[in-house]
Amino acid sequence: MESTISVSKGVFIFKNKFNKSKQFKKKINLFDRLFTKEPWYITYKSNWEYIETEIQKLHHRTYNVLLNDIVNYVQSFFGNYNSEMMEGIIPSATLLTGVNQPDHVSQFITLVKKIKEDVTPHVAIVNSQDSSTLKHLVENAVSQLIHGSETLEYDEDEAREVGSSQFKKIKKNQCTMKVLQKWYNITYTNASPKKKKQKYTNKLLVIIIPDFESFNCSILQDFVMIVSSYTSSLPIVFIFGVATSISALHKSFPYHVSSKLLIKVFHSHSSPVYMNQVVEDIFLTHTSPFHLSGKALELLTDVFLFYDFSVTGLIQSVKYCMMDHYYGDNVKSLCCERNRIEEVVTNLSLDDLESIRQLMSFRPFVEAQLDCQTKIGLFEDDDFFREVLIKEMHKLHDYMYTFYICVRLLLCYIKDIPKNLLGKSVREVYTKCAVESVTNTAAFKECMMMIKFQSQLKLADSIKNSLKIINSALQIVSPIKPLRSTPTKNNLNNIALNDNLGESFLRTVRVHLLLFSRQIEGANNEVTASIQESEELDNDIENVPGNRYKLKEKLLKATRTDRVQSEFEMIRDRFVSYLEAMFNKGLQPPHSQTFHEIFFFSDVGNVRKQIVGSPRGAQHTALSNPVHYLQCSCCILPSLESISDTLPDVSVAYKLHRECGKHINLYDWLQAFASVLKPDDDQRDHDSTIQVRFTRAVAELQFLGFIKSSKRKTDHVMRLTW
Amino acid sequence: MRIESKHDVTPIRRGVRNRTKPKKYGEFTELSPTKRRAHDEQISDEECLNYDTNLLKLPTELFSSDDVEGSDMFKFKSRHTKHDLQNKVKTAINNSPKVTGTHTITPKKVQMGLHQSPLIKVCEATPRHVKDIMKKRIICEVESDSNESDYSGSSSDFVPDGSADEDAVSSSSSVSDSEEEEQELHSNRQKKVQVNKNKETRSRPKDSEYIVTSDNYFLMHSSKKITTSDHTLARLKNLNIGESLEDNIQISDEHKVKVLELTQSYEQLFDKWLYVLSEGFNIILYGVGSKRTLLQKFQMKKLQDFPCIVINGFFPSLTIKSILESIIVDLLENSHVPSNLGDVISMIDKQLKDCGIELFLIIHNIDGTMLRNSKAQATLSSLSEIENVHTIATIDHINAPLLWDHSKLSKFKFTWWDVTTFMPYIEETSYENSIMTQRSGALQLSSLRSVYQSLTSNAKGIFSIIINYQLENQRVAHYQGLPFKDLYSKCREQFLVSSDLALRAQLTEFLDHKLVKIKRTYDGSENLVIPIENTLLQQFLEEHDR
Repeated sequence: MESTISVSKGVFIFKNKFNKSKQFKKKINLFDRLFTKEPWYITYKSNWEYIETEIQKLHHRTYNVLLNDIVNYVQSFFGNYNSEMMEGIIPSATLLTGVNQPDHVSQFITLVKKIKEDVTPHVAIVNSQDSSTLKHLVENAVSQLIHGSETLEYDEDEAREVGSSQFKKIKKNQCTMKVLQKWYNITYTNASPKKKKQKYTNKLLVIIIPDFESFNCSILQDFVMIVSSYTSSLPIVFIFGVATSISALHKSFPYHVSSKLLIKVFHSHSSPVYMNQVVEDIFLTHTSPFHLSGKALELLTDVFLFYDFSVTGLIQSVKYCMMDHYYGDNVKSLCCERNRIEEVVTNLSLDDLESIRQLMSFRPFVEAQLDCQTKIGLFEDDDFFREVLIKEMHKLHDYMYTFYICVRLLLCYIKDIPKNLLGKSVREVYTKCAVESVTNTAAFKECMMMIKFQSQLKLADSIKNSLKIINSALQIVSPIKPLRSTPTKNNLNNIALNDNLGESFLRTVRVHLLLFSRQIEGANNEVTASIQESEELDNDIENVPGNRYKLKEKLLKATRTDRVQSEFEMIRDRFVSYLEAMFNKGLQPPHSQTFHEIFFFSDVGNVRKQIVGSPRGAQHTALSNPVHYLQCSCCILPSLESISDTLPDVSVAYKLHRECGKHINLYDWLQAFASVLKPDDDQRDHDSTIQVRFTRAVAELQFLGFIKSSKRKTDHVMRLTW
Repeated sequence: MRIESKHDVTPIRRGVRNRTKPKKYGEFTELSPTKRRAHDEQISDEECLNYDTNLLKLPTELFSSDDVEGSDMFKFKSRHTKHDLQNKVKTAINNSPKVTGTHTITPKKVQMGLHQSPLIKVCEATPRHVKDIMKKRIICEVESDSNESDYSGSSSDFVPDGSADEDAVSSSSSVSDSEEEEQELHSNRQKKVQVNKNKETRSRPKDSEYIVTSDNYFLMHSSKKITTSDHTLARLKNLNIGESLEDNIQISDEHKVKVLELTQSYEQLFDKWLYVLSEGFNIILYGVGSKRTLLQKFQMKKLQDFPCIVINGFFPSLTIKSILESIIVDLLENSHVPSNLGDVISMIDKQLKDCGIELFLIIHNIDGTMLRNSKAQATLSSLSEIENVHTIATIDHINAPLLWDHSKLSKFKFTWWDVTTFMPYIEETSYENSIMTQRSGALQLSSLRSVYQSLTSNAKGIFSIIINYQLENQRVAHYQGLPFKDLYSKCREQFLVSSDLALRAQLTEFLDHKLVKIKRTYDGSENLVIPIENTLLQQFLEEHDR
């Protein structure tokens, strides 16, 4: 290999047999050769593709309303773009997008697509990085407007007919507004007479500016002014993407510019809302093939909430987690859809089975087996183990199904409870439930206490909501037959949950909830008659005026006697204890399940380093405590601050420089350095090796950015940190 | 930048808490680390109780116990004294097991050094008169010791005995130097006592966790005066260290083995990197030590079949244009590079997709000086965003993450890998002029010498006139330089030049070599200054006179 060090150039090419003239088509993807054969890679690929399409669908759903609004607005100028009516005024839509700009790319791409489909083929999307000057901006916009149409198929014949082929060759640096005007006239206004009849063939020209704030104000102002002078002949519509607030628009456009714009504002979702949606609908469902443990999800949402507010980033991080989960482990190919389990299990090699036996959660499972024969069978008999594996996998799928529904049910009950002990969104409740068995926590108990104080109306309401959740969930699994048999009242007393999880569990819960809701709605909220009788007795005493002593005694008695509950209260108590039992069953944390490692990604520590890099921390650790990396026996330090002569030179210099203020005297520093390395040597002044080592250490510290040279005083350097 | 300190992300907390006074450094360090931690825990417990009610959201999973504490990394000292460095060295020497044997000659001193800090701590609990006695004793010991050796209890600047003596003999200026030091020593001692007193009398405010207070910052930057000692590198005997010595870097044998093991452990990651790259992520490597060899290995082992472009970010005259050119012209065989960034990117994207190849960008030091502007980073991020381009970059500068904003980061799609190698930055720093060599002036001196040798005898004379004048007037506060007409008259006296024009002709040569600068004063006269430090000039003259 050639050396890549030169004093005359900094870029080196290794073509590695690549030759442009040769066609490389036969090698489709060079990467694929590496992993394609591996089962884990195949599973990973298919699962990620599934998630990607789900995300795409979600995008469509979430953007749809907003984009439709914009498109309708734009379309309203479609037919009646009347030049006389608004002279020099450009209609424009302003989309308030929120600060997470990277996320908006997909939003604007869908917008462009939609406009191209519904309104006009002439759309230009101009980014700030491509328009450093007005000339660039105009060239960019115009060439996109002119050429954009020709890439669309349905326009092709039209273009040919019109004879715009002369414009096909327009070079970018020839694109000006004049050219655009001419082109537009030829294409639409002076088109064949049959087209002239149909007025609506006059297509709009839409210019989208997605990152308004990044633009240079004066360039945009000029652009708007130029465009406004063409409005009589060109029907141009602007769409601005504004990240901050509408005031940004007002600030950067003075009156004479903004008066040329007819602005309508559209609001898009805030990113946390969108993030919740993505997390809830895609990752926290049983349909997702890959599951994040509570900690992993918490990490990703923390990165989102505290660092970047970027949903795209979040999705990429999930992708990374998924990659890490599957990487090089064929066992993970079990982490697939339910109907493929049998197939995958039969394809597992003996080594894979062995590594499944090594899983941490397998041990409690074995210990739970009472029969000695099965215990041995699990280890010895591979076929038997495969069978057990299939059974357990199905169990796990059932468990996940129940778990996610229960999380949603729990949320439905505790959503409105003051203080939000368990959180307000599915993801918050999920992390609580996934980290520990939530029913044993104080927060959960308090929530249940709170439910005991809820009113009849509220309770009935939440039960209804939870029933809705269950119904929709059951419909996903199978179109459910309407429940006709009205549950009789007498079986209420022996409500008990059977051992099954999954769909059957949900069905029973549904029946029980229906029962409760009916009872609660019908329950009498009045205090029962027995108390009323005793009150009547007391009435005599109360009639006697001034008998304060008696009254006091009566009140005391009232506290002593148990308050008799109303019918509603009784049912409510029973309902709450039922909820507790139900959640206790449904919300067992994932790590209590056998083989949970296969489905739940929990290696947070490892992934955190890759997703959230900590360069500064690593540098500090390396310099202040090299043993952490080197694992050598010579540099073990009593404390992080101490210095020893065995440390690498940079480390010694670093530690010494931390003792100094803003300015460091190089001579003193050198002497300190020398006396650390050779404490007993009087002649160290003459020792040039020390000096060389010090010089090198200083150069490296300078390279790392801890110090720089200073002109304030001779032979001093500036410290850049504090 | 992603900062991994726990304390930096809690600005709201900070606002709520009652402000404690900015602490003196001494108090902060005097508490042993364990003690400090205990304090922290105690306080944070209290805080938890207080802040639970505030419904503050704090990141839970973002930080873990093995993160580096912010207080370690960004240790903020409002007051640095001259003695910090010495104290450090002292403790280092005392701690290191080797030295205890060799230092038996002065057991008293070592003992004292060891017991100094406990002594001060004891003082706090003892009645005042006992304290005073102790203090006197400490001062006595300090004074008696300081005359004998250089790392004594007190805090002299580093004046190795031998050199100080020689200095005294050789030049009168250094005598005054050492006298100054004596005075300094005294004042230091007094200061130290003063500080002690202050410490003892004031009741210590409750220690709380690490907070960067703005006051501290301004306190540090308020004084214009630089409080470091006035030593210069001129004190060193051998100023010019041979270039050849730079090559052998001293690493102990054990470290050599360990560094090798470390790099080998990173080689295990190669397959994973390839996997990560193939899934559309890019890789960034950080950590102390040169990562060039590691990346070269990666390229050699895994990227033999792919076209690669290696970019040395540390190369001082690297331009972003040269990078684009090498991709578009050299690799993709186009004739020219479009001027607009967007066009460039779409062009590369299209051609790579058409050919169906994957291009690898290996960027050593993406934080290099020439890549530190937003345009370069925008270009690189857009390049990395292309599906068929895969970027592997390294960073070394501590502030490198500040290069990227939100949108650039999302384009880069970095995964971060800690590859601390402890390998010396040989190539990376080779382009840089090191502070040490630059300061020592070896280069300047040698170039001065070689230019001087090539001069005619008349020109040599003219130059030495300027030097002598500059050295004679070095005490003048605002030295303006030698006026041209004075120079002319002096030259004429010595028959060096005959006319104004001839002198100017001679001077142009100096100006071309930047040996002399012309400064114009307000009245229009020209003054000649040599832009080289006076000590160097002195050295040059001495050498030359010999």
